[in-house]
Amino acid sequence: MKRAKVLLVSALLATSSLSGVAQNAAAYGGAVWTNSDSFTTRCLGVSDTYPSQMYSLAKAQFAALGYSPLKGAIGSSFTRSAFLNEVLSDWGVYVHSHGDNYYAASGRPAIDSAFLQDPGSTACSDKNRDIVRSSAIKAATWTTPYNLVIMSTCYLGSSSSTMPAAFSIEKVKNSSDREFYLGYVYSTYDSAQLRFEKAFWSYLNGGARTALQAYTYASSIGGYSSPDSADPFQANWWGNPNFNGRPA
Amino acid sequence: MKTVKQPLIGIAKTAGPAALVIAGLIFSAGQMSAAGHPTPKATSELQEAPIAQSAVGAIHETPLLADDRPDVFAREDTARAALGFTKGAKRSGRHVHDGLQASDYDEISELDAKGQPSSLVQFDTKGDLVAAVRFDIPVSSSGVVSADSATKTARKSLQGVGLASDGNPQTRRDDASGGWAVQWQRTSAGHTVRGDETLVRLGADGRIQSVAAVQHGLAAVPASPLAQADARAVVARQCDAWFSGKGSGYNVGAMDLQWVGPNAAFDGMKLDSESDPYRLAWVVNVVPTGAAADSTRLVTLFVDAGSGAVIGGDVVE
Repeated sequence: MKRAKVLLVSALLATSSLSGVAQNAAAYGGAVWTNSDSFTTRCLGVSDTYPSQMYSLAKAQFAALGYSPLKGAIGSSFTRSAFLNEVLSDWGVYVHSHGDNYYAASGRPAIDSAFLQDPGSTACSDKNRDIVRSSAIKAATWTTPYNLVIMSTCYLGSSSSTMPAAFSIEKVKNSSDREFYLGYVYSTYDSAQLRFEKAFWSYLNGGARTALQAYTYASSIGGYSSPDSADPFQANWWGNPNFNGRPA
Repeated sequence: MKTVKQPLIGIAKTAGPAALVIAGLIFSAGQMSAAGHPTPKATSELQEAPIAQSAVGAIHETPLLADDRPDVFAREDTARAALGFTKGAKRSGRHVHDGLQASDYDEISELDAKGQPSSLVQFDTKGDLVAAVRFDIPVSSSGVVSADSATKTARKSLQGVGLASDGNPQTRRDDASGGWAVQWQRTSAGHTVRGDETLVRLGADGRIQSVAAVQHGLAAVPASPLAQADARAVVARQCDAWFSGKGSGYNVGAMDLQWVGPNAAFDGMKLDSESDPYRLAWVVNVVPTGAAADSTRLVTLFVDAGSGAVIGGDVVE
């Protein structure tokens, strides 16, 4: 996609306005968000250890790719307002939570994909209260570009997902922009997401590889459990097949 | 058309919201005004979670040279040819201790003229093929290949690399590529080995995209496996305790005997201790109802068929 013509005003403003702030290399920030309170003893009766494992993994691997500063949160600080206030300045975004392709506020059959914020330390998930819709994210991202977006949730990699557009990523597999969106198509076990993401990161950060190569490798190793035959393990991607996932 | 933004330039983390507003954005001509921007807040705190070593584990690799390990390079050449993978301009080899995947393997990659991998083949420490993947199938490739044809091609490819293809596989469309995934599920003593399989993926044009073999060691079958009714009682006791007082309930769904890997799904103390052998267990699906259903679609429990203990499980959020 041809980029918009740019007025380089902000860099100039930054230079002139921030006396005393050291001028160093450009920083491409990222954010890793994980809903964990929904899956604790308090809400579920048992503590699910997968969310914290995926949070630790994503945080380490986004940093290894060069996203800095790395923000976000696991647990009660992962709120809708924190996410929407932060997302505009990010280049890489990772979310692990419950996700689905909900009907839009305008009604069926329009889809407005969403994930759930963390419910906080004193409440448990409530879809109506905790939903973070792609339409709200799209309004907050102002059609700015994103390099790497990973929705570690159910369904947000399906063909009906509206989440990629929230990050200005078209659902095509031949983009020329530096962008890659990864999600899962069906209802997906946490163990399968963790196995896939470990393989994805292992290959992507194991050398000069593209995100698509890492996706292909992770999709190929097998060993993924699925809840039933109607929900086979299936990751999906959109973006640039030649992009290396690194911020720029 | 996308609005362009610029990275933060020389801004310390503590520079504050005003600096983020100024430096974090560049406006597209005529598309928005500064007054219209939301004000990004400063960073939310990163809360530290318990960290599994396998979540941040390092990847250590040592080069494998054809002169030192001709056997590995020869096996790769055989597999590559059998699967129809393109011969590269050159090859590179490495032995990998993969802290993320908790595995060790030898990997030989075919590299194109630009040094990019066009395929790889991985062998475990015993020399058995665990994965073969090609990267040079165009994502926009066209062609119509039937499920039957895909299954035949997959079976033939396994014969070519010396992997078994007994029984009837499951063949399904790959939603991402338009190709096919052909899966031979492993069973032992009449029971599914959870996650163990031989998987062949084909591109939309019918060429082999990948072959993988996943196989774990198995413990002995318990002398007196837990009866289904007893396993159901274990699950009921467990779930009554879990869901009691949470504003939630549950329904017990499908349950069957499978070989499973004990895991740390519900016990953080077991992180990084997951290992062979797999054990025979009742795999029981529990569907939350009430408040818990808003965030959790399914909880799966593994009840050891020998001891009756819950040895792991899984969650669909």
